[in-house]
Amino acid sequence: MSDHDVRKWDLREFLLVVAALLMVALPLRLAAENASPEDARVIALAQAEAAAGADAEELKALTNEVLQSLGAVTGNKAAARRPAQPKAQAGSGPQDYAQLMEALTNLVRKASVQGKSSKEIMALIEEALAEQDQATLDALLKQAGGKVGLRKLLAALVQKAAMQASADDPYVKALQAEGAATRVAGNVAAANSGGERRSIVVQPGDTLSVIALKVYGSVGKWRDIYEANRDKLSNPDLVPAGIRLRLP
Amino acid sequence: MWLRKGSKFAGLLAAGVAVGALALAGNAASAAQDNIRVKIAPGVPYVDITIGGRTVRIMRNQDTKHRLTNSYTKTSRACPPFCIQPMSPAPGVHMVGELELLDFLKKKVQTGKGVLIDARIPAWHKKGTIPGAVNIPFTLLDKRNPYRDRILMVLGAKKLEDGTWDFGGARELLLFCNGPWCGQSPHAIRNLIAAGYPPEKLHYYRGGMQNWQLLGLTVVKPNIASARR
Repeated sequence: MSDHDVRKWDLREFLLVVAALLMVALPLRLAAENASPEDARVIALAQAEAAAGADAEELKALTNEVLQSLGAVTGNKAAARRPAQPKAQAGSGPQDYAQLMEALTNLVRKASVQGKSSKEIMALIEEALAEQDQATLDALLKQAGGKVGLRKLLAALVQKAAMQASADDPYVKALQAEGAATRVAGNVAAANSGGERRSIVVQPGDTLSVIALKVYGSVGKWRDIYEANRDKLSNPDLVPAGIRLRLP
Repeated sequence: MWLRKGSKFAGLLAAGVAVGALALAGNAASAAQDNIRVKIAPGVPYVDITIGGRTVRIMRNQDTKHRLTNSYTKTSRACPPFCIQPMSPAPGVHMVGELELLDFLKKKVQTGKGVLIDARIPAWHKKGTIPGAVNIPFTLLDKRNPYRDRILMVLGAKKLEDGTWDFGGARELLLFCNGPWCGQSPHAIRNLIAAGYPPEKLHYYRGGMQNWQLLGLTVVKPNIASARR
């Protein structure tokens, strides 16, 4: 593999990781009860389309949309169809990259709603990427480099890899058990709140699940709230009104 | 490079931290410092790091009566597997403490030249970690993991035509896990070296979450959904 190939592969990998990430994130988001009106609209639209049996054609169109966006990056409208173009001009701005990401997001979103398997969606995207010329990919890579950080890429890779890793090893099993039993309450700040600690006062009728839904949009987060307040709560089903809970 | 100076390493680093940290504290410090009784070091009340557009302030717990009450007060986890680790996990790897770690966050992680790696499996990581860390469980750096190569590439290594690796552009890594009784990051370091990662690009914070928390330093709960930001 030449140096050039490595970069090319890098970008394909990057886009596939982005796609994989979207596939994990979007269904969760769609399922959230506090979906934004925009999401609700897209869901309704996608469901209507699915009902009309539009899936195969729709996905094809969306794939083309991704390809178009890829073309826009190099100013090469027919990038998708054309073989290697050694020196396409990269007249690209950040909006092209955003456009591609949006197209990719749309594709994954709609395909998920239509019940396509992850494998099918990845195959579609992989197919689309396989047709790209090097200049397009290089230009995109350049943009992607600054836009989507290393951290996100790593997180996505780890997520993907972790799904494959088996925990049969007795050492890993022992780690799992001890890790699961570990509590880290106290001086813990939420990573997304700039280090500040948040809290909430329990209202009459609130349960941990209700609070989790209100705060995080997900009932499943009740356990995190419980873990963060073990010093105040002995039973997750008994949450007295009026007490202040830490929000992890 | 200052990181390769061998025996002079500690001294240089200490000087670097002192100078760097003073600069970090900056002007804002003079007013804020008076209110901060438990500083990180003289003249360093806190360290703000900005990564991915988010700023986290790393400081110590200001309650001078505070004691740990969580699982990190345990003294006697079964060994094996929870055994006391040597100072150095492999020849040539640099050992660091909290101040060097903070300096690494400022100078390397913030600028994209380095990565702070929490090498624990997710069951531990998700409970709380050091601000700025990414989770790469040691299990994923094993050569049997099909994704290992991709992780190495994202870290800046290049796979050459003949199948060998060029680590010339690879980032500096600082790894940690639960502390002196935890073998996860030493394991990760040995896996990286087995893959060809140059030991001089690897740093080991042996104190880990144990010492970090014992000093009352800020712990963050990783935002699992941060992928979406």
